[in-house]
Amino acid sequence: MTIVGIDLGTTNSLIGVWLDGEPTLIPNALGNVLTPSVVGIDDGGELLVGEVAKERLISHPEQTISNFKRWMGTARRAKLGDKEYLPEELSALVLRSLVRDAERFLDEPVSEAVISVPAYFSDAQRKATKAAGQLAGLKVERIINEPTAAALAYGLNQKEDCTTLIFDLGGGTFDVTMLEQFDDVIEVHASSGDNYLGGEDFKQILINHLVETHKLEDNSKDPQLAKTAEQIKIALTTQHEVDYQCRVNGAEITGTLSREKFEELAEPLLVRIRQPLERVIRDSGLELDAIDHIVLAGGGTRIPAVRHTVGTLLQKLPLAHLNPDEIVGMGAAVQAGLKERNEDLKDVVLTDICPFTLGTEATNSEAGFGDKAIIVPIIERNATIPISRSHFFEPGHRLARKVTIGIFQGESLNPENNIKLGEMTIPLGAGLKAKHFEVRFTYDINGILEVEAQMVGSDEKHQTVLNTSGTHMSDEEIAVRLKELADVKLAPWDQEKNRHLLARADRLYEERTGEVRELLTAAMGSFRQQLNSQSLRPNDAQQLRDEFKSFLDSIDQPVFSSN
Amino acid sequence: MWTLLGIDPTDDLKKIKRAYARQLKQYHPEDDPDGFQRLHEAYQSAQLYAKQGGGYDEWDDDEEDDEEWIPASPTLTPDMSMDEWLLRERGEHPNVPEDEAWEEDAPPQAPYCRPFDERWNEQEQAHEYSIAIDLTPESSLEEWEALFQQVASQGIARKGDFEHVLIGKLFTPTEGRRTLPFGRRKKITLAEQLSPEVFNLIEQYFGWKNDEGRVAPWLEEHFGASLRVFYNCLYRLKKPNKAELLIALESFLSDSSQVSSHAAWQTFFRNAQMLEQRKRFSVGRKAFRVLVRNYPTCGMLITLKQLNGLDRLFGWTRSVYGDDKVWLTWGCHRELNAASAELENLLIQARDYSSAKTVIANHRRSLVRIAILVALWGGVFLPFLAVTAVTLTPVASVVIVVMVYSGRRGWWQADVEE
Repeated sequence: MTIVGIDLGTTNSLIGVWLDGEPTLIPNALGNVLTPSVVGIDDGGELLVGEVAKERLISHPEQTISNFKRWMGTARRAKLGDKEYLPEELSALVLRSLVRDAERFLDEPVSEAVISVPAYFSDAQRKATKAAGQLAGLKVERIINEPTAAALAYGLNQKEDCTTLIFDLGGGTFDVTMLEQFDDVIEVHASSGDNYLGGEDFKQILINHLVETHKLEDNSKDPQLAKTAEQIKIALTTQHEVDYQCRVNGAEITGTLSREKFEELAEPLLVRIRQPLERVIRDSGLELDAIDHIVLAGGGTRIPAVRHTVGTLLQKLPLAHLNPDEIVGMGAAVQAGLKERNEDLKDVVLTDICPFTLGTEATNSEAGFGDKAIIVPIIERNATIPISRSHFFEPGHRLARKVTIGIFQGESLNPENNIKLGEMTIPLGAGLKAKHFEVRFTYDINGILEVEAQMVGSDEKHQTVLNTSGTHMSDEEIAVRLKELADVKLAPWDQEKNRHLLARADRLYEERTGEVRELLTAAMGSFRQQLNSQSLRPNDAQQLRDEFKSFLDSIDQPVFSSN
Repeated sequence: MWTLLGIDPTDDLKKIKRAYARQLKQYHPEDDPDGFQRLHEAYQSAQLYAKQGGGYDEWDDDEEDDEEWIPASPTLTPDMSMDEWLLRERGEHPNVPEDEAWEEDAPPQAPYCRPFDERWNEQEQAHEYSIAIDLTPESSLEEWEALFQQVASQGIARKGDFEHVLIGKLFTPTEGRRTLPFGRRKKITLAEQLSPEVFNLIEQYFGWKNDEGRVAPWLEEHFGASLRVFYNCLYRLKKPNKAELLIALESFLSDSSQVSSHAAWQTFFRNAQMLEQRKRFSVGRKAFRVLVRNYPTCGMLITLKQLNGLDRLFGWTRSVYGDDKVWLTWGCHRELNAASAELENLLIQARDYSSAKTVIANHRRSLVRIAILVALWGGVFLPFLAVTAVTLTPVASVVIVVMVYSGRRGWWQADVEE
């Protein structure tokens, strides 16, 4: 049975598998390994995922959704067509498309997957990711932290002992991880990050800048503007200055943006990079000189200002020889290989950590907090998992018959600033003299927390399942939704290429005017007609596509010119 | 922990890591979570051991050492009371007598070392003892000393609580002075900012170094302070090394004004105590040579009690188990050849002096206790019991019968349950 590794990203997703002694990324219908995490519904009610949906983001914004990973674990629903979807359901649709690609590539059914999540994903977000896997008909036992995955992909290429810092700035999330490697052991020392910092935020500040300089009305949601911002962002990674032009609400805007200006705008975001870096270095107890390599992962690290900030902070040049977009996907594939205990990997052991502190709330008048509840950490952040730790408590009141223990995740002393994972109630036996009880937290290798409480001098144990996180779906709910989602059909795989070209033509039509539009209409018409003709042979279809594609390419020239 | 890693104790990080990597195959985190946890803990302790430069001093044995191994006895702290000491020592180490050399003159004190759990239950009482510590990293050594002296004068019961508060103050992270980029401040504990001298002083008064087991749980349970900070501070302590100890002894014995001063003896013993017993004993012969050399000048001033203290410090004499005979260790005997036999006699007398005194003290103490108990029972409880017995016997027997009877039926138990 093959296990696949999936990097379910904010902007792009990848699927990979351990094949013939190395991680292999699987291309989608269009031949790309990167599948945009965009989901759309076409007019016929068919599901579109990836490039096709991304093209339609501009032409059909109502029927297309992107960036849903950012709401993972929340109850926010997105409207797509006439139905509403939870973020895990949208992710499930992406997963389904990825798995279909993999099944075609491997020529066998895929039923189990390892999915990567940002290290800083909470319990609820991890569970939502698992639920997404289940909704896509996959068995997801292992959730792996993205930086750990990046480390795996990087570490396997590395033969000698070394200490590495992985800097992963993806589309929507930011993670830093320190790891050490020796004798086939990959040991993660510490992770930190920011769940709400990524390439999308850099794009957002560009959008805000455009809106401000051109005195536009609140058009920050305008897909055309977003696309321009994205293009400016990408162009600025190689050029020092870009000229841009774009049509917003029929009006043409043009201008020039320099890299310096962009860096000035991005300063508040760059500042946010420093704190997780500092925390990781402090937590791992290492000096700056002890870091042998810095590895960049995620598309966001292509931004020169980000590289520069990392370089100056760590006083070392980051390595970038691995493709930052693919490294996490590769790592997920390696983890899949590890999971299936592949022969090539049988000596490699990975020890991961729990990146956040888990604890309960309690009062401690002794320490001067009065009746105010504070967090008592039980598993401190960056503890190597699997781990089991316990702490003794006593009821706040001598006559209490039961106590309720809140279970929290986070670093703040104040429970309100932490994420509440759940709570459990323990009845205190009336006959017991000692009313101390032990609370034990067990965090397993799959990132699942189990809480157990036991009275001192009693054999009775109380266990809890954490399920107060709002959106957590029970197995029954998942089964119901799975049926509903099964009705949503993925667009046929072999038509994907045609659909992509047509969607692209649609988008170009909206972007251009006059003569070009006419040309496009004519070309689209003839392309459709010939595709539908009875006498079409597969080779002809490919030729037709190539012709149509080169025609579109000739129109879709980059707007920007370098100065 | 070393067996789990499958290696001998070492401070070579590389070796530890290699062993850990090897054992990981056996205790794979996916197959054997519990085994892996144990292995990982062993690995972490081994790393800590290695980082502290070979860890604990007991193991580092760099000098010629022709002495037999002496069972490690808990090292005395200046403030430990006699009762406490007797409890620990009695029967366990017959060849190590009490340290009376300076203990005798310490203020009368009650034991303050209580097991941690007991303390926990008495948290509420602890409140009233809390003493404000408002000293900052800039405070001078004198200010700290004044504070400690003030506490010491209040008696030992309060001292324990003070210690508690002090640990909290020292190891709770606060906003420090060091500014990080963007105007944030580094969290730092007071302990990290203190000079080694202050820690030396703390050590003199509280003796944490030899009693980590007592202090560490407070840190962990109450303040969540990292043990690492604590150990770092302890290992920063300025300890006298063996050579310094010998020099100090030499200058001390050759200065007649110091030898005759009780306070000087006390300070000397306190400082010397900070070196582990094993290390002290390993320079025993050299120390003895110093004594022999200085004996003509200081011999007249030194008392049996002080001689006994020195003996305890350096382990010059040995008693044979099960026998009252006492003689000098071989190393010392060789040194003694040159000097007078008078010193040997004196030393053996000093030895006897302390054992005799201990026995008498023990007897006296237990006699007093028995007397008090008898007085209590005779004076208070017996008449009371007699009166109770006479007046209450009929009533009590009825109650007992009812209790037993109903207890069998079980209705009152059910009542309690509700």
